[in-house]
Amino acid sequence: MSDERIGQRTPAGIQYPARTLSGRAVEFPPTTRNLGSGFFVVLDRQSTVDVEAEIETLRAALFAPPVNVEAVDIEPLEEGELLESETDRPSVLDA
Amino acid sequence: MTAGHIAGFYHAQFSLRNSAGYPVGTVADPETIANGTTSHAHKLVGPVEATAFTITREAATFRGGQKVLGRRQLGVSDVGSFDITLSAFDETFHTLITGSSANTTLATANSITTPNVNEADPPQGMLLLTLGYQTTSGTNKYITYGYHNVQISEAEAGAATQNGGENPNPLRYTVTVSTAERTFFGIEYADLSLGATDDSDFFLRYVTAKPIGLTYFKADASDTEFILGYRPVVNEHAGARNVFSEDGVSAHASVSGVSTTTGAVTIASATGGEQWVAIFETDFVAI
Repeated sequence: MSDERIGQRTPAGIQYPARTLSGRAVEFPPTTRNLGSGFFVVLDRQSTVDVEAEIETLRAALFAPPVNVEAVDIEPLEEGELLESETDRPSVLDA
Repeated sequence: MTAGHIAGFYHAQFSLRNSAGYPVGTVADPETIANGTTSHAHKLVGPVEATAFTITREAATFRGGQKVLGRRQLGVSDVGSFDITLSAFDETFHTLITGSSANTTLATANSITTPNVNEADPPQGMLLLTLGYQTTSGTNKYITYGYHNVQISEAEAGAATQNGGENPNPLRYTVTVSTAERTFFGIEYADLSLGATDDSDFFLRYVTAKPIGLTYFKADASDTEFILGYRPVVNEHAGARNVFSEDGVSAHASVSGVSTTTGAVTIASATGGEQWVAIFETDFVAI
């Protein structure tokens, strides 16, 4: 997990985060708050951060929609064929 | 039903209690718990002893003609506080019962706590004391005294001694007990068929094969599982050894699985805000 404050439950088991939402070491058994899809954070009894705002930020980062990359058809070059950009360059033979 | 001998003081646990009477673990604020929150009773470090909960009963004596004509009990006139002694200073327990905070920011490698002596109304909680119990047929079990509504304060503080020996500086706490209609199971006396007068009482006794743990879960809509605080010793969920309640009602029918390794309790798709309480048998093995 890239953010060490986020844990995850999977069918195989539970992976507790290293840090609480405020960044402290986790004490067991911890009080947890679900983020969705098996992800969770450990809450502090005395938080030093705005809990709701921080959770929203983490949720937004976890569940941000993926960036859409449109596929473009590129025909493979024939042997000896130059890229269009390369054909615009003056050839050394022209010099 | 069994009969048995009681010896040994194995575990003590404390959970905060919300105004509806549910045990809510160690959450920051028992009255504002977000959906999707799971919390557990705090297991105290080094329980040494607990004094008896004393009950004073009023009685009337009818006397005339130089003889006692009769006596009648007039009910309870008072219940006493009792003390628990711990061998260790447990900062988490201390902050829970005093409603104070531990400061670990002034010196990040250290911690500062205050006794909060001036707090006249400390947080209400539940105290579970687990003792050894041996049935008359010789089977070792456990008996837990569950106090559903307590306030706990330091009885003495700051003692120092040069002596060695066993627990030269124990910590003693006074437990003030009040009545409750809802038990630590999350279920009210009225629904437990215990025959408690006025459907309330100060504590109850729970005999189990293993010690018990307590987990509270407030569900998000569509949640289908929550995680216990420790590994349960059995995966049973039919109402024999692990107890589950949902919004104050026994909820075994809504539980379809309990994992003894991951601690996961599989439940029917939840409605947002459902309050679950799990009382499960455990050896307190971490998950």
